[in-house]
Amino acid sequence: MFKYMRYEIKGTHKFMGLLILFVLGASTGIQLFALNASKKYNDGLDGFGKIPNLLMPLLVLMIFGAFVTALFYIIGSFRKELYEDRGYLTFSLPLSGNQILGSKMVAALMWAVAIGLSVIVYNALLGSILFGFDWVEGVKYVFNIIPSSFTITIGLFIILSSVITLLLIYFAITLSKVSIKNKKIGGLWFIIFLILNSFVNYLILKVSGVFPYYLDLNTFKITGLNSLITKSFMSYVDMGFFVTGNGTTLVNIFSFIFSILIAVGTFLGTSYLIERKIDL
Amino acid sequence: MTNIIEINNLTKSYYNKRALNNLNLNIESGKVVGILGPNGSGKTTLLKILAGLLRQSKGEVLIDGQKPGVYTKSIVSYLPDRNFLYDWMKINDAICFYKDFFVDFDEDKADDLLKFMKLERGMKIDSLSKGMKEKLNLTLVLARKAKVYILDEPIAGVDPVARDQILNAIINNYEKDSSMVITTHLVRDMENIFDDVVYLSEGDILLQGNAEGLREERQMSIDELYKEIFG
Repeated sequence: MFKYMRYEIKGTHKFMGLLILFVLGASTGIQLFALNASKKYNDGLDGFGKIPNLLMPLLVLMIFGAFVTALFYIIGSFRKELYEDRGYLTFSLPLSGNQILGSKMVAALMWAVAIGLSVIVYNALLGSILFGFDWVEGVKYVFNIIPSSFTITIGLFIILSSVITLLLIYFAITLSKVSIKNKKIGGLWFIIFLILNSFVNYLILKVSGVFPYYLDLNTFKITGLNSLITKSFMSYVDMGFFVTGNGTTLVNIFSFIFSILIAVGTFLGTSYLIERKIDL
Repeated sequence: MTNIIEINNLTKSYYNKRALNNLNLNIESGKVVGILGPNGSGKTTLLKILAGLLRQSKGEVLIDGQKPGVYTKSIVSYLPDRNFLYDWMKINDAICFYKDFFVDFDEDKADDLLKFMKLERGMKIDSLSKGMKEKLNLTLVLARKAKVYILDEPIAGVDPVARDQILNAIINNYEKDSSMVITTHLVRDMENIFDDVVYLSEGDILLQGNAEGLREERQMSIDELYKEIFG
Protein backbone atom coordinates (compact mmCIF):
# COMPACT_ATOMS: atom_id res chain seq x y z
CA MET A 1 0.00 0.00 0.00
CA PHE A 2 2.83 2.41 0.90
CA LYS A 3 4.46 1.75 -2.48
CA TYR A 4 1.32 2.77 -4.30
CA MET A 5 0.91 5.78 -2.02
CA ARG A 6 4.47 6.83 -2.92
CA TYR A 7 3.60 6.81 -6.62
CA GLU A 8 0.31 8.58 -5.92
CA ILE A 9 2.28 11.37 -4.24
CA LYS A 10 4.90 11.34 -6.98
CA GLY A 11 2.21 11.75 -9.62
CA THR A 12 0.56 14.70 -7.89
CA HIS A 13 3.50 16.50 -6.30
CA LYS A 14 4.10 18.92 -9.17
CA PHE A 15 0.54 20.27 -9.15
CA MET A 16 0.32 20.37 -5.37
CA GLY A 17 3.77 21.96 -5.09
CA LEU A 18 2.76 24.68 -7.54
CA LEU A 19 -0.51 25.21 -5.70
CA ILE A 20 1.33 25.63 -2.39
CA LEU A 21 3.81 28.04 -4.01
CA PHE A 22 0.96 30.05 -5.50
CA VAL A 23 -0.83 30.25 -2.16
CA LEU A 24 2.36 31.29 -0.37
CA GLY A 25 2.97 33.95 -3.02
CA ALA A 26 -0.57 35.24 -2.65
CA SER A 27 -0.18 35.22 1.16
CA THR A 28 2.91 37.37 0.81
CA GLY A 29 0.97 39.79 -1.41
CA ILE A 30 -1.91 40.00 1.05
CA GLN A 31 0.38 40.57 4.05
CA LEU A 32 2.45 43.22 2.22
CA PHE A 33 -0.75 44.97 1.15
CA ALA A 34 -1.97 44.91 4.74
CA LEU A 35 1.39 46.24 5.99
CA ASN A 36 1.35 49.05 3.46
CA ALA A 37 -2.18 49.99 4.39
CA SER A 38 -1.44 49.99 8.11
CA LYS A 39 1.59 52.27 7.56
CA LYS A 40 -0.56 54.71 5.64
CA TYR A 41 -3.05 54.70 8.49
CA ASN A 42 -0.31 55.33 11.07
CA ASP A 43 0.96 58.27 9.01
CA GLY A 44 -2.53 59.64 9.03
CA LEU A 45 -2.63 59.79 5.25
CA ASP A 46 -6.03 58.20 4.78
CA GLY A 47 -8.52 55.88 6.31
CA PHE A 48 -7.12 52.61 5.12
CA GLY A 49 -6.60 51.46 8.68
CA LYS A 50 -9.53 49.14 8.33
CA ILE A 51 -7.84 47.18 5.57
CA PRO A 52 -5.55 45.16 7.90
CA ASN A 53 -8.74 43.87 9.46
CA LEU A 54 -9.35 42.15 6.14
CA LEU A 55 -6.10 40.22 6.51
CA MET A 56 -7.57 37.22 8.31
CA PRO A 57 -10.73 36.88 6.15
CA LEU A 58 -8.61 37.16 2.99
CA LEU A 59 -6.15 34.54 4.22
CA VAL A 60 -8.97 32.22 5.28
CA LEU A 61 -10.65 32.68 1.90
CA MET A 62 -7.41 31.91 0.11
CA ILE A 63 -6.77 28.76 2.16
CA PHE A 64 -10.34 27.66 1.42
CA GLY A 65 -9.76 28.30 -2.29
CA ALA A 66 -6.55 26.26 -2.17
CA PHE A 67 -8.37 23.34 -0.50
CA VAL A 68 -11.17 23.46 -3.08
CA THR A 69 -8.63 23.50 -5.94
CA ALA A 70 -6.75 20.57 -4.40
CA LEU A 71 -10.03 18.69 -3.88
CA PHE A 72 -11.04 19.14 -7.54
CA TYR A 73 -7.62 17.93 -8.64
CA ILE A 74 -7.87 14.85 -6.40
CA ILE A 75 -11.39 14.10 -7.66
CA GLY A 76 -10.20 14.49 -11.26
CA SER A 77 -7.29 12.17 -10.62
CA PHE A 78 -9.60 9.47 -9.21
CA ARG A 79 -12.02 9.82 -12.16
CA LYS A 80 -9.10 9.37 -14.56
CA GLU A 81 -8.43 5.94 -13.03
CA LEU A 82 -11.95 4.83 -13.92
CA TYR A 83 -12.44 6.59 -17.24
CA GLU A 84 -8.99 6.87 -18.83
CA ASP A 85 -6.30 4.47 -20.00
CA ARG A 86 -4.18 4.81 -16.85
CA GLY A 87 -6.75 2.60 -15.08
CA TYR A 88 -5.39 -0.33 -17.11
CA LEU A 89 -2.17 -0.02 -15.16
CA THR A 90 -3.65 0.73 -11.74
CA PHE A 91 -6.23 -2.05 -11.81
CA SER A 92 -3.89 -4.69 -13.21
CA LEU A 93 -1.59 -4.29 -10.19
CA PRO A 94 -1.75 -7.09 -7.61
CA LEU A 95 -3.41 -4.77 -5.07
CA SER A 96 -6.74 -5.11 -3.33
CA GLY A 97 -9.44 -2.45 -3.56
CA ASN A 98 -8.68 -1.53 0.07
CA GLN A 99 -5.02 -0.93 -0.73
CA ILE A 100 -5.74 1.23 -3.79
CA LEU A 101 -8.43 3.29 -2.07
CA GLY A 102 -6.48 3.52 1.21
CA SER A 103 -3.42 4.84 -0.63
CA LYS A 104 -5.47 7.44 -2.47
CA MET A 105 -7.21 8.53 0.74
CA VAL A 106 -4.00 8.86 2.75
CA ALA A 107 -2.23 10.72 -0.07
CA ALA A 108 -5.17 13.14 -0.45
CA LEU A 109 -5.36 13.81 3.30
CA MET A 110 -1.60 14.20 3.42
CA TRP A 111 -1.78 16.92 0.77
CA ALA A 112 -4.58 18.65 2.69
CA VAL A 113 -2.40 18.69 5.83
CA ALA A 114 0.63 19.85 3.80
CA ILE A 115 -1.31 22.75 2.25
CA GLY A 116 -2.87 23.77 5.59
CA LEU A 117 0.37 23.55 7.58
CA SER A 118 2.57 25.27 5.00
CA VAL A 119 0.15 28.18 4.67
CA ILE A 120 -0.31 28.60 8.44
CA VAL A 121 3.40 28.30 9.30
CA TYR A 122 4.48 30.56 6.43
CA ASN A 123 1.94 33.24 7.30
CA ALA A 124 2.86 33.04 10.97
CA LEU A 125 6.55 33.53 10.18
CA LEU A 126 5.93 36.28 7.63
CA GLY A 127 3.51 38.01 9.99
CA SER A 128 6.05 37.96 12.79
CA ILE A 129 8.65 39.54 10.45
CA LEU A 130 6.37 42.18 8.93
CA PHE A 131 4.14 43.06 11.86
CA GLY A 132 6.27 41.89 14.77
CA PHE A 133 3.47 39.66 16.02
CA ASP A 134 4.38 37.14 18.67
CA TRP A 135 2.54 34.18 17.25
CA VAL A 136 3.36 31.92 20.17
CA GLU A 137 1.63 34.36 22.49
CA GLY A 138 -1.15 34.73 19.92
CA VAL A 139 -1.78 30.99 19.83
CA LYS A 140 -1.70 30.84 23.64
CA TYR A 141 -4.21 33.70 23.76
CA VAL A 142 -6.55 31.97 21.30
CA PHE A 143 -6.36 28.71 23.28
CA ASN A 144 -7.10 30.65 26.47
CA ILE A 145 -10.27 32.23 25.15
CA ILE A 146 -11.46 29.14 23.24
CA PRO A 147 -12.11 26.12 25.48
CA SER A 148 -9.89 23.13 24.65
CA SER A 149 -13.00 20.91 24.48
CA PHE A 150 -14.26 23.08 21.61
CA THR A 151 -10.90 22.93 19.80
CA ILE A 152 -10.71 19.13 20.14
CA THR A 153 -14.31 18.72 18.98
CA ILE A 154 -13.88 21.04 16.01
CA GLY A 155 -10.66 19.18 15.12
CA LEU A 156 -12.45 15.83 15.27
CA PHE A 157 -15.38 17.23 13.31
CA ILE A 158 -13.14 18.61 10.53
CA ILE A 159 -11.12 15.38 10.22
CA LEU A 160 -14.16 13.09 10.24
CA SER A 161 -16.19 15.33 7.91
CA SER A 162 -13.27 15.58 5.45
CA VAL A 163 -12.77 11.81 5.45
CA ILE A 164 -16.50 11.11 5.02
CA THR A 165 -16.87 13.75 2.26
CA LEU A 166 -13.90 12.42 0.32
CA LEU A 167 -15.07 8.82 0.73
CA LEU A 168 -18.60 9.74 -0.38
CA ILE A 169 -17.13 11.44 -3.47
CA TYR A 170 -15.03 8.34 -4.28
CA PHE A 171 -18.05 6.12 -3.68
CA ALA A 172 -20.30 8.30 -5.88
CA ILE A 173 -17.75 8.32 -8.73
CA THR A 174 -17.29 4.55 -8.51
CA LEU A 175 -21.02 3.88 -8.25
CA SER A 176 -21.77 6.06 -11.29
CA LYS A 177 -19.12 4.14 -13.26
CA VAL A 178 -20.50 0.78 -12.14
CA SER A 179 -24.17 1.57 -12.65
CA ILE A 180 -24.01 3.61 -15.85
CA LYS A 181 -21.06 2.84 -18.04
CA ASN A 182 -21.68 5.66 -20.49
CA LYS A 183 -18.86 8.15 -20.12
CA LYS A 184 -20.95 11.01 -21.45
CA ILE A 185 -23.05 11.15 -18.31
CA GLY A 186 -20.10 10.70 -15.99
CA GLY A 187 -21.22 13.89 -14.16
CA LEU A 188 -23.87 11.70 -12.59
CA TRP A 189 -21.44 11.15 -9.72
CA PHE A 190 -22.07 14.69 -8.47
CA ILE A 191 -25.82 14.13 -8.20
CA ILE A 192 -25.20 10.81 -6.42
CA PHE A 193 -22.79 12.59 -4.07
CA LEU A 194 -25.27 15.37 -3.25
CA ILE A 195 -28.01 12.85 -2.48
CA LEU A 196 -25.72 10.63 -0.39
CA ASN A 197 -24.21 13.57 1.47
CA SER A 198 -27.61 15.02 2.35
CA PHE A 199 -28.85 11.59 3.41
CA VAL A 200 -25.80 10.93 5.62
CA ASN A 201 -26.05 14.34 7.30
CA TYR A 202 -29.77 13.82 7.85
CA LEU A 203 -29.05 10.43 9.45
CA ILE A 204 -26.35 11.88 11.71
CA LEU A 205 -28.77 14.56 12.93
CA LYS A 206 -31.51 11.95 13.35
CA VAL A 207 -29.24 9.66 15.38
CA SER A 208 -28.28 12.53 17.70
CA GLY A 209 -31.99 13.26 18.18
CA VAL A 210 -32.92 9.66 18.93
CA PHE A 211 -29.91 9.05 21.20
CA PRO A 212 -29.26 12.36 23.03
CA TYR A 213 -26.26 11.12 25.00
CA TYR A 214 -23.32 13.47 24.99
CA LEU A 215 -19.73 13.33 26.19
CA ASP A 216 -18.56 16.49 27.92
CA LEU A 217 -14.89 16.77 26.99
CA ASN A 218 -14.21 19.02 29.98
CA THR A 219 -15.37 16.52 32.57
CA PHE A 220 -15.35 13.32 30.45
CA LYS A 221 -18.82 12.56 31.78
CA ILE A 222 -21.83 11.44 29.79
CA THR A 223 -24.56 14.01 29.95
CA GLY A 224 -27.72 15.22 28.22
CA LEU A 225 -28.52 18.50 26.53
CA ASN A 226 -29.96 19.83 29.79
CA SER A 227 -26.42 20.58 30.97
CA LEU A 228 -26.37 23.32 28.33
CA ILE A 229 -29.92 24.50 28.74
CA THR A 230 -29.76 24.90 32.51
CA LYS A 231 -27.00 27.47 32.17
CA SER A 232 -27.80 31.17 32.15
CA PHE A 233 -27.90 31.39 28.35
CA MET A 234 -30.05 28.81 26.66
CA SER A 235 -28.85 29.20 23.09
CA TYR A 236 -26.74 26.50 21.49
CA VAL A 237 -25.74 25.28 18.05
CA ASP A 238 -26.59 21.70 17.20
CA MET A 239 -24.43 20.23 14.42
CA GLY A 240 -25.68 16.68 15.00
CA PHE A 241 -22.17 15.47 15.67
CA PHE A 242 -21.61 18.00 18.45
CA VAL A 243 -23.46 20.69 20.35
CA THR A 244 -21.85 23.89 21.47
CA GLY A 245 -23.11 26.80 23.52
CA ASN A 246 -22.39 28.75 26.68
CA GLY A 247 -18.70 27.82 26.56
CA THR A 248 -19.42 24.10 26.69
CA THR A 249 -19.05 21.62 23.86
CA LEU A 250 -20.62 18.21 23.94
CA VAL A 251 -19.97 15.38 21.50
CA ASN A 252 -22.92 13.16 20.70
CA ILE A 253 -21.59 9.66 21.34
CA PHE A 254 -23.92 7.84 18.97
CA SER A 255 -23.51 10.36 16.14
CA PHE A 256 -19.76 10.10 16.53
CA ILE A 257 -19.83 6.28 16.40
CA PHE A 258 -22.35 6.41 13.54
CA SER A 259 -20.08 8.80 11.57
CA ILE A 260 -17.16 6.40 11.99
CA LEU A 261 -19.36 3.50 10.84
CA ILE A 262 -20.42 5.56 7.80
CA ALA A 263 -16.75 6.22 6.96
CA VAL A 264 -15.81 2.53 7.36
CA GLY A 265 -18.87 1.36 5.42
CA THR A 266 -18.26 3.80 2.56
CA PHE A 267 -14.59 2.80 2.42
CA LEU A 268 -15.39 -0.92 2.29
CA GLY A 269 -18.23 -0.37 -0.20
CA THR A 270 -16.01 1.63 -2.56
CA SER A 271 -13.19 -0.92 -2.22
CA TYR A 272 -15.62 -3.72 -3.04
CA LEU A 273 -16.89 -1.91 -6.14
CA ILE A 274 -13.34 -1.18 -7.28
CA GLU A 275 -12.20 -4.77 -6.79
CA ARG A 276 -15.28 -6.68 -7.94
CA LYS A 277 -17.52 -4.53 -10.08
CA ILE A 278 -15.53 -2.03 -12.13
CA ASP A 279 -15.42 -2.81 -15.83
CA LEU A 280 -12.73 -1.00 -17.80
CA MET B 1 0.34 -30.98 -19.47
CA THR B 2 -1.71 -28.93 -16.97
CA ASN B 3 -4.10 -26.16 -17.89
CA ILE B 4 -2.93 -22.78 -16.64
CA ILE B 5 -6.15 -21.15 -17.87
CA GLU B 6 -9.58 -22.77 -17.73
CA ILE B 7 -12.58 -20.99 -19.22
CA ASN B 8 -15.98 -22.61 -18.73
CA ASN B 9 -19.25 -21.37 -20.26
CA LEU B 10 -17.99 -17.79 -20.27
CA THR B 11 -20.53 -15.17 -21.29
CA LYS B 12 -20.11 -11.41 -21.29
CA SER B 13 -22.97 -9.12 -22.22
CA TYR B 14 -23.03 -5.36 -22.61
CA TYR B 15 -26.68 -4.41 -22.18
CA ASN B 16 -28.31 -6.25 -25.13
CA LYS B 17 -25.10 -7.15 -26.95
CA ARG B 18 -23.26 -10.38 -26.25
CA ALA B 19 -19.50 -9.94 -26.53
CA LEU B 20 -18.72 -13.53 -25.48
CA ASN B 21 -21.17 -16.35 -25.87
CA ASN B 22 -20.82 -19.42 -23.64
CA LEU B 23 -17.12 -19.78 -24.38
CA ASN B 24 -15.16 -22.89 -23.35
CA LEU B 25 -11.39 -22.88 -23.67
CA ASN B 26 -8.42 -24.41 -21.87
CA ILE B 27 -4.88 -23.15 -22.29
CA GLU B 28 -1.99 -25.42 -21.38
CA SER B 29 1.17 -24.30 -19.60
CA GLY B 30 4.00 -23.49 -21.98
CA LYS B 31 1.77 -22.87 -25.00
CA VAL B 32 1.53 -19.75 -27.17
CA VAL B 33 -2.09 -19.32 -28.18
CA GLY B 34 -3.29 -16.92 -30.84
CA ILE B 35 -6.82 -15.57 -30.46
CA LEU B 36 -7.74 -14.53 -33.98
CA GLY B 37 -10.73 -12.63 -35.21
CA PRO B 38 -11.93 -9.42 -36.78
CA ASN B 39 -12.79 -6.27 -34.83
CA GLY B 40 -15.69 -6.80 -32.45
CA SER B 41 -15.21 -10.56 -32.24
CA GLY B 42 -14.66 -10.47 -28.45
CA LYS B 43 -10.85 -10.85 -28.36
CA THR B 44 -10.15 -7.83 -26.16
CA THR B 45 -13.13 -8.61 -23.92
CA LEU B 46 -11.75 -12.10 -23.30
CA LEU B 47 -8.27 -10.76 -22.48
CA LYS B 48 -9.64 -8.08 -20.17
CA ILE B 49 -11.56 -10.72 -18.23
CA LEU B 50 -8.36 -12.79 -17.93
CA ALA B 51 -6.47 -9.68 -16.77
CA GLY B 52 -9.10 -9.00 -14.08
CA LEU B 53 -10.24 -5.68 -15.59
CA LEU B 54 -13.65 -6.87 -16.68
CA ARG B 55 -16.25 -9.03 -14.95
CA GLN B 56 -17.98 -11.88 -16.74
CA SER B 57 -21.78 -12.00 -16.89
CA LYS B 58 -21.86 -15.79 -16.57
CA GLY B 59 -19.45 -18.70 -16.43
CA GLU B 60 -16.12 -19.29 -14.77
CA VAL B 61 -12.53 -18.30 -15.41
CA LEU B 62 -9.65 -19.89 -13.52
CA ILE B 63 -6.02 -18.89 -13.85
CA ASP B 64 -3.62 -21.22 -12.06
CA GLY B 65 -6.73 -22.52 -10.28
CA GLN B 66 -7.80 -19.08 -9.00
CA LYS B 67 -10.50 -16.65 -10.04
CA PRO B 68 -9.14 -13.36 -11.45
CA GLY B 69 -8.06 -11.20 -8.53
CA VAL B 70 -5.03 -10.04 -6.60
CA TYR B 71 -3.20 -13.39 -6.92
CA THR B 72 -3.80 -13.85 -10.65
CA LYS B 73 -2.69 -10.26 -11.29
CA SER B 74 0.63 -11.15 -9.67
CA ILE B 75 1.22 -13.99 -12.15
CA VAL B 76 -0.30 -12.45 -15.28
CA SER B 77 1.72 -9.99 -17.32
CA TYR B 78 -0.80 -8.01 -19.33
CA LEU B 79 -0.22 -5.77 -22.33
CA PRO B 80 -3.38 -3.77 -23.13
CA ASP B 81 -4.08 -2.40 -26.59
CA ARG B 82 -3.41 1.16 -25.44
CA ASN B 83 -0.82 3.27 -23.68
CA PHE B 84 -1.53 2.55 -20.04
CA LEU B 85 1.45 4.14 -18.31
CA TYR B 86 0.97 7.28 -16.21
CA ASP B 87 1.77 10.36 -18.31
CA TRP B 88 3.97 11.98 -15.64
CA MET B 89 6.42 9.09 -15.79
CA LYS B 90 9.83 8.84 -17.35
CA ILE B 91 10.90 5.40 -18.57
CA ASN B 92 12.97 5.05 -15.40
CA ASP B 93 9.87 5.67 -13.26
CA ALA B 94 7.99 2.98 -15.19
CA ILE B 95 10.84 0.49 -14.62
CA CYS B 96 10.91 1.31 -10.88
CA PHE B 97 7.11 1.05 -10.74
CA TYR B 98 7.10 -2.45 -12.24
CA LYS B 99 9.99 -3.48 -9.99
CA ASP B 100 8.08 -2.27 -6.93
CA PHE B 101 4.82 -4.02 -7.73
CA PHE B 102 5.81 -7.23 -9.50
CA VAL B 103 8.21 -9.52 -7.66
CA ASP B 104 8.85 -11.38 -10.92
CA PHE B 105 10.16 -8.25 -12.65
CA ASP B 106 13.74 -8.65 -13.91
CA GLU B 107 15.41 -5.23 -14.10
CA ASP B 108 18.46 -6.53 -16.01
CA LYS B 109 16.20 -8.04 -18.62
CA ALA B 110 14.32 -4.73 -18.83
CA ASP B 111 17.61 -2.91 -19.47
CA ASP B 112 18.54 -5.41 -22.20
CA LEU B 113 15.14 -4.96 -23.82
CA LEU B 114 15.38 -1.17 -23.59
CA LYS B 115 18.72 -1.34 -25.37
CA PHE B 116 17.26 -3.66 -28.00
CA MET B 117 14.33 -1.29 -28.50
CA LYS B 118 16.66 1.73 -28.58
CA LEU B 119 14.99 3.37 -25.61
CA GLU B 120 16.64 5.21 -22.72
CA ARG B 121 15.64 5.44 -19.08
CA GLY B 122 15.69 9.23 -19.05
CA MET B 123 13.07 9.60 -21.81
CA LYS B 124 9.70 11.10 -20.85
CA ILE B 125 6.79 8.82 -21.74
CA ASP B 126 4.52 11.57 -23.04
CA SER B 127 7.21 12.61 -25.52
CA LEU B 128 7.54 9.12 -27.07
CA SER B 129 6.06 8.26 -30.46
CA LYS B 130 3.27 5.67 -30.68
CA GLY B 131 5.72 2.98 -31.81
CA MET B 132 8.16 3.80 -29.03
CA LYS B 133 5.37 3.63 -26.46
CA GLU B 134 4.35 0.21 -27.73
CA LYS B 135 7.98 -0.94 -27.50
CA LEU B 136 8.23 0.37 -23.95
CA ASN B 137 4.98 -1.28 -22.92
CA LEU B 138 6.17 -4.58 -24.33
CA THR B 139 9.55 -4.17 -22.61
CA LEU B 140 7.86 -3.85 -19.24
CA VAL B 141 5.53 -6.77 -19.86
CA LEU B 142 8.23 -9.12 -21.16
CA ALA B 143 10.72 -8.21 -18.43
CA ARG B 144 8.49 -10.05 -15.99
CA LYS B 145 9.00 -13.77 -15.40
CA ALA B 146 5.25 -14.29 -15.34
CA LYS B 147 3.33 -17.56 -15.54
CA VAL B 148 0.96 -16.07 -18.10
CA TYR B 149 1.53 -13.33 -20.66
CA ILE B 150 -1.53 -11.70 -22.19
CA LEU B 151 -0.79 -9.49 -25.17
CA ASP B 152 -3.57 -7.55 -26.84
CA GLU B 153 -2.63 -6.55 -30.41
CA PRO B 154 1.10 -6.16 -29.66
CA ILE B 155 2.03 -5.15 -33.22
CA ALA B 156 -0.98 -3.13 -34.28
CA GLY B 157 -0.25 0.39 -35.38
CA VAL B 158 3.53 0.14 -35.74
CA ASP B 159 5.66 0.23 -38.88
CA PRO B 160 7.02 -3.05 -40.36
CA VAL B 161 10.52 -2.51 -38.94
CA ALA B 162 9.20 -1.93 -35.43
CA ARG B 163 6.86 -4.89 -35.98
CA ASP B 164 9.81 -7.21 -36.61
CA GLN B 165 11.62 -5.82 -33.60
CA ILE B 166 8.60 -6.43 -31.39
CA LEU B 167 8.10 -9.95 -32.73
CA ASN B 168 11.74 -10.77 -32.11
CA ALA B 169 11.45 -9.41 -28.60
CA ILE B 170 8.41 -11.61 -27.95
CA ILE B 171 10.04 -14.75 -29.35
CA ASN B 172 13.36 -14.26 -27.56
CA ASN B 173 12.18 -12.99 -24.22
CA TYR B 174 9.12 -14.74 -22.97
CA GLU B 175 9.60 -17.45 -20.35
CA LYS B 176 9.50 -20.84 -22.06
CA ASP B 177 7.56 -22.50 -19.24
CA SER B 178 4.97 -19.78 -19.32
CA SER B 179 1.87 -19.49 -21.43
CA MET B 180 1.15 -16.65 -23.77
CA VAL B 181 -2.20 -15.53 -25.12
CA ILE B 182 -1.98 -13.11 -28.03
CA THR B 183 -4.75 -11.44 -29.97
CA THR B 184 -4.14 -10.07 -33.41
CA HIS B 185 -5.69 -9.50 -36.77
CA LEU B 186 -2.23 -9.23 -38.37
CA VAL B 187 -2.17 -13.01 -38.63
CA ARG B 188 0.48 -13.42 -41.32
CA ASP B 189 3.06 -11.54 -39.25
CA MET B 190 2.48 -13.56 -36.12
CA GLU B 191 1.34 -17.03 -37.14
CA ASN B 192 4.76 -18.61 -36.81
CA ILE B 193 4.91 -18.08 -33.08
CA PHE B 194 1.55 -19.73 -32.30
CA ASP B 195 1.34 -23.28 -30.94
CA ASP B 196 -2.45 -23.20 -30.92
CA VAL B 197 -4.97 -20.87 -32.51
CA VAL B 198 -8.57 -19.95 -31.72
CA TYR B 199 -10.77 -18.31 -34.35
CA LEU B 200 -13.31 -16.09 -32.67
CA SER B 201 -16.34 -14.43 -34.26
CA GLU B 202 -19.05 -12.45 -32.48
CA GLY B 203 -18.19 -14.07 -29.18
CA ASP B 204 -18.24 -17.65 -30.45
CA ILE B 205 -15.32 -19.97 -31.14
CA LEU B 206 -15.60 -20.97 -34.81
CA LEU B 207 -12.49 -23.13 -34.90
CA GLN B 208 -9.65 -24.00 -32.58
CA GLY B 209 -6.70 -26.35 -32.66
CA ASN B 210 -3.00 -26.89 -32.95
CA ALA B 211 -1.55 -24.45 -35.49
CA GLU B 212 0.62 -27.03 -37.23
CA GLY B 213 -2.19 -29.58 -37.24
CA LEU B 214 -4.58 -27.09 -38.85
CA ARG B 215 -2.02 -26.20 -41.52
CA GLU B 216 -1.60 -29.87 -42.43
CA GLU B 217 -5.27 -30.72 -42.24
CA ARG B 218 -6.45 -27.72 -44.30
CA GLN B 219 -3.36 -27.45 -46.50
CA MET B 220 -3.17 -23.73 -45.95
CA SER B 221 -1.50 -21.25 -43.67
CA ILE B 222 -3.20 -19.91 -40.53
CA ASP B 223 -3.52 -16.55 -42.32
CA GLU B 224 -5.17 -18.17 -45.36
CA LEU B 225 -7.49 -20.05 -43.06
CA TYR B 226 -8.32 -16.77 -41.32
CA LYS B 227 -9.25 -15.21 -44.66
CA GLU B 228 -11.33 -18.23 -45.59
CA ILE B 229 -13.25 -18.09 -42.33
CA PHE B 230 -13.76 -14.35 -42.12
CA GLY B 231 -13.39 -13.35 -45.76
